[in-house]
Amino acid sequence: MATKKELIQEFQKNPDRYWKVKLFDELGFKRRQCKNCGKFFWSLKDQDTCNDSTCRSYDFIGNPPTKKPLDIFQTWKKIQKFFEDNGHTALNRYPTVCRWYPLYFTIAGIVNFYRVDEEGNLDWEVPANPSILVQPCLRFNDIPNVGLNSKSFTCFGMIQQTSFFNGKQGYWKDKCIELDFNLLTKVFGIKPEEINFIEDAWIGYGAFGSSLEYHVQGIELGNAVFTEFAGNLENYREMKEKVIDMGAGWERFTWITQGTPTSYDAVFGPVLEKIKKACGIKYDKKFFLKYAKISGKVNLDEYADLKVVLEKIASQLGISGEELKKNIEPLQALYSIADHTRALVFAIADGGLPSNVAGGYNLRVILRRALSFIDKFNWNLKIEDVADWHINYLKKMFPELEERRKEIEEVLQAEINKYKNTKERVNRIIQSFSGRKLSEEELITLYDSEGVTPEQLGIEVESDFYSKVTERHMVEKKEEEKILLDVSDLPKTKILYYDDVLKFKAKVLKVSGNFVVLDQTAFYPTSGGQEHDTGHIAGLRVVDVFKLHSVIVHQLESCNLKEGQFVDCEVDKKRREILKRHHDAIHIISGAARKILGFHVHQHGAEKTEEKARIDITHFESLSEEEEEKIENLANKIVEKGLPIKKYVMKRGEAERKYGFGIYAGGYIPSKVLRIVEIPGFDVEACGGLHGNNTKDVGFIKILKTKRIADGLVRIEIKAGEVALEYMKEKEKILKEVAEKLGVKEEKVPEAVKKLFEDWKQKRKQLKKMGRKE
Amino acid sequence: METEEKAIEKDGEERMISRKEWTELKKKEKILKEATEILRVEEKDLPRVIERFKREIKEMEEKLQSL
Repeated sequence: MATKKELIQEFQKNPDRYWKVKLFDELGFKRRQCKNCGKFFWSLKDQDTCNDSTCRSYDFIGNPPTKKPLDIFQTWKKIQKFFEDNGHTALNRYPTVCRWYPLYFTIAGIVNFYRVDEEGNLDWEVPANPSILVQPCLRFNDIPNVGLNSKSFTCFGMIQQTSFFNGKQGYWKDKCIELDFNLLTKVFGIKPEEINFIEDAWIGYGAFGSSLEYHVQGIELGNAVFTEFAGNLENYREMKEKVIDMGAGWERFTWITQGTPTSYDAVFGPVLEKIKKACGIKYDKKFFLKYAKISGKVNLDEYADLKVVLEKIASQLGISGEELKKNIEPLQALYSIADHTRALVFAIADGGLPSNVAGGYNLRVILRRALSFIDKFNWNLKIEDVADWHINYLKKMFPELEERRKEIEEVLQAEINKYKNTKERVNRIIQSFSGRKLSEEELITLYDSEGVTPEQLGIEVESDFYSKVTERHMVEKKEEEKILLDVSDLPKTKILYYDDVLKFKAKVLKVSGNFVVLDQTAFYPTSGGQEHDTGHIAGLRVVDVFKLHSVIVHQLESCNLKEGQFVDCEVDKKRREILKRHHDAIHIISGAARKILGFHVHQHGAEKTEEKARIDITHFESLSEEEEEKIENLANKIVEKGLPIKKYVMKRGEAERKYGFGIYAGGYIPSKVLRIVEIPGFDVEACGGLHGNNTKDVGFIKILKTKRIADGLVRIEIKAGEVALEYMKEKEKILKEVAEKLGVKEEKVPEAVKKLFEDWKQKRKQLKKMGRKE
Repeated sequence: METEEKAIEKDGEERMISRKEWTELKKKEKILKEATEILRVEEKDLPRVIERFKREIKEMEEKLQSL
């Protein structure tokens, strides 16, 4: 098996094993094959084609099959109540910016429960079983479809029904489909014969299984995935604990109850009305209703050229492609603006930042796309206002958006200003290409390096352009580990460095050149941005220490050790203490920056050396001197307060529940247990580094400089403790020397330097003048 | 009894200096920065540059007197 298609074919050898559930037998659902798409599906009605949108139009538009129209909040309340009544725990949403798993964004409800174990495999963190929640998700691979096919979003709510089944707890396929069927029929009032369950399969991150999609009148409302195999298609095993992962469309459920032409009309509520009013948009509702029914079938991924799609739809409507384009383009723009702004509201509220780095790139793409639409149609519309309208509408369900309103506006404003600045460069860029047609690669590069969208250059791009751009920025790239020696035969090294041990005895387990592995060690290996310890092993100088999987390797200056030998070891105390202080100081600066600059500040990278330390934070502009001063002052106040620096080892789930996902400030940690470093009331992070016991032990912290190192990234360099003091004393010494040379008091030095300089310039001038006279 | 002003304390590791001393150092740092910005030189180079200016002024004065 290699592909999803092949997996489905494999499952189809035994469809009852993978797809048939008790309910189908009880109610008389029959398995049929769609004569149009060829897929197998289960229905009560004798149908020869299935309910998938490619095989059936959106018959619910204008004629909803449900009891009564519901807005998004009413829809969720009904779903929540139903599942709670059926033994599910309703969970709060998780952040849209994913910090607990190597993804930039939460792309599906199930991602909330994904973690990585020590071996790098998929692991699960389950706060309740079974559970239900609505999870705002961000996906950027469907941008061209947004606004065009009535149902695509970059930000959508996924109703996530989850059950972990081990034979005793949770439930499996029969119960899942029974619940989903009852939700559709009893809660929403959809007639049983309107429902199709289409056979499918799902291949995810290290796990896969069969699935049943449920479709009603042309729209897929949900997909119940039965995850039962761990591994990949070539190498897998049946899981002891199987997972029900049912994801349903919150927007789609709302839409089907309202039967509006598009899902956007159903879910954006008053926001859309305000946008329409601000833009002065009026449209032929009858025409649009017809268009919406047909366009729902459109999946632009299948077409390289938008014109071809529009011509196809236009011919069905009996008009020209150009006429259709003229009619729908403003609406597509309007819906896209509403969607993209909602995505930005959630992402920024959760600490995301439009930028040129990592996932921030995708946020920039959608913001600039929205702004390009406003420019194109010359609308009097402000994205900041649209964001405000969204917050007003959503705050009763997501009060955290209200709490972040000011910051969202600030971040958007800064990014909009950057966009305006790039516009000024557009003409120069157009001229530099002197009329030559730009290749797609050049356009992507132009977007990457200059932030200029094809729309700004007046270039129409193929429908998958933005998918190609954003795909480059969806998943965190993991640096490949350098394997210097084979440690696969060695046991995990016993770690002593968390116990403040500096002198210890150990047994040499492996020697390879100057590399040595001991059975236990107090030498801290370079990790989490903290440099390694140095010291001596049997009198031989340790020059590097690093981790290979769970084995710690010491590199010596020279080595004459023998395997099996017992050795006396000693860590360099002075270096250890400086590194510890610098690590503490970085946590303090991180907390201070977040408090001064805002919730969007996260650690992007850090380094702690003996000489200095640095932290790269996400922030949308360079820091002013005043901001630098404020951060430094707050950091030093924390030092002076003498707050305890507490360290705990906690179960991952317990730590997440107690402290939230802010603990992953430095990135996700592949472990079931986390070491938490907490400065109570100020900062808490999961961190494997070495720390002192009290902030006052850090000594004063000095910000050396701050620098914008990339768009959206600011580097703060610091020194702490005695290293900072030496640095400041050196400055004091220089000032004293300069004052002596100038024969003035220290506070008069600038004045004296200025006078000296003026004097020098004047004398030079006089000399030149005299020279000319001669 | 230790006061906030007088800071050195023994708690396993030596505390650095008092807030007053630190503020004084920061004040001096600011003065030094201001001075280096006038001549657009690195702080460490300032004494040498001052010395050079003084020497050159003296040389120019001598030259001017001889003209």
